[in-house]
Amino acid sequence: MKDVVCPYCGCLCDDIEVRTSENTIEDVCNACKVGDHAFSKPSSRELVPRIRVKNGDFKEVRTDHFRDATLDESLKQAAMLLEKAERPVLFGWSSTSTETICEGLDLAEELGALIDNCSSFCHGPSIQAVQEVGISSATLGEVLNHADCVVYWGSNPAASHDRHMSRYSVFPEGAFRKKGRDDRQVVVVDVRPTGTAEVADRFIKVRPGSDYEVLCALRMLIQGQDMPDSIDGIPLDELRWLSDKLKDSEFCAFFFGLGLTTSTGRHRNVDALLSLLRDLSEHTKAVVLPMRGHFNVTGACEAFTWRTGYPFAVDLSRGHPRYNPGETDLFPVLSSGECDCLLVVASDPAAHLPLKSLGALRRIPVIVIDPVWNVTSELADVYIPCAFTGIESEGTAYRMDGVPVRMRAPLEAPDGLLPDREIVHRLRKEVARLREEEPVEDS
Amino acid sequence: MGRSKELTLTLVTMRTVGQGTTIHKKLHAEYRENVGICSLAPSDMRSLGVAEGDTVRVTTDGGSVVVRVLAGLEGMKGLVSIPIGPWASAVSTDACEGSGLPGLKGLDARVSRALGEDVESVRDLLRRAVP
Repeated sequence: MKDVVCPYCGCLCDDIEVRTSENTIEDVCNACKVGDHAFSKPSSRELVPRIRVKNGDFKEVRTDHFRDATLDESLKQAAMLLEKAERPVLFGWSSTSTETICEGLDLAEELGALIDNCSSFCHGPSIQAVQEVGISSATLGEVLNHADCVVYWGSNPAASHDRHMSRYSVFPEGAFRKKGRDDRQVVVVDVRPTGTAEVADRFIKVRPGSDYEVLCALRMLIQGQDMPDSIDGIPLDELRWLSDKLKDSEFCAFFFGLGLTTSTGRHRNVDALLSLLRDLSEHTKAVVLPMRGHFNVTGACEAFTWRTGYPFAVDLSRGHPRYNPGETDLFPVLSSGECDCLLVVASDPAAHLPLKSLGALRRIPVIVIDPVWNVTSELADVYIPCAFTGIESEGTAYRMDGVPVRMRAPLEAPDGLLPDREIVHRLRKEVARLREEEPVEDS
Repeated sequence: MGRSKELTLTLVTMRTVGQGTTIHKKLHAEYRENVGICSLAPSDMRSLGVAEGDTVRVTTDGGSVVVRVLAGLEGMKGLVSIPIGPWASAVSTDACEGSGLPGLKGLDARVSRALGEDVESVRDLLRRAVP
């Protein structure tokens, strides 16, 4: 099958060729090393739902504390746990289809739940900054055809988005960049010389936590203001060279990653970068794109915004959407002890939350819907396996630049495994049924 | 090998290809080998008296964890870099700075040789998380 879309990172490479035989993938062409693994058969796959059978004061991390269950039984159990919770939280929604995310939003509305996606662990601060400053953005196709100056700031696509540089930004020929790499200046700004820095024309090393100062200094240079000889250890000449390159370019494209969003300053760092772009637009065409990680975390933000007005961290408990990053994201509601039931779909927060806060997951009911048994599953009360989106079930995903891409399904799901879209849909029906039953029982 | 001592370095998280290729195997040894690691500059490795493959203990205000030193991962003097994942999360902090994002980068980290200590499994890390 040709034109298969890789379900790994926000690049959503749509030129993958997959050769199958007897519902097994035999060969994958065009994918990067990580994409190649995304299509390989996972070794930790469960094919039947599992329900935790032993519960003490807090859950033990033991695989023999689970028993196999039917899908109907596990859906009933999950619905019961969610329905009786006072502060249910629905998290994840970033490695699945937009259709599944819409089902999740329906479920959140039904429950009056707090719903959040992986943005609160990665580019949430970027979104906060965009809401304050605005953004001059572009599609990756525009970058490919027009950009003659490319800057990666706090981002290492050589490790995280392997084909980003070869498909969109650095190496390929574009309509107005016929010589490909030779027609582009490439600059990497980071705290260490990464693999991406090796292919750059210039690497500028910043001290961890000093991005805000350096970005502000660059803004001042672009505005023509005087500066001291050195800015946080970076010689002024180096920053002046960058500012001149940016101003002299015809089209410059910035890409930024977690180096900005998770460092000291968080959204203020991105705020400074977006403001820099605004200043630069006085001189040239300048665009900026966040390097979104999970393959459909952009789609999660899109769908959340259509449906609630907000891209992540949305609290529906008051009957209307409320959004307050820092208060209504997963981590704050979990560490404060507010959350009393967690549903995780297509994500693995237990692998990324501070270990200290994971104790909360040993105390409250946790439901996991995921194609593989992951770290969060170890702390689950109900685990429901599903088909792999983009491999065993179709769906729509949004590339990091907001372009929707239809994902194909080169394989059929193993018997009994449904797409997570269908599972979440059935879960909502089951919750609605439980709620309808209640008044009847009372009367 | 020189005498072991403790250094105060700056912790940053990073992405690696090995982390991506083992993402569906998080409870397997292969994931631990690829993610329960850190990169250090050669000069810092000499100061700590560690070689590639040795384990070091990394301690921050958020916690403490043992990881294996892997050379060739763009180590930078003064930095200890750990891939995002359960081992980095063992030393991340709850300092969110107005976001919902835990503190992952730019933390002060005390690093010392962990002679005879192995990298914990994911399950062992989870067992440490007590309500």
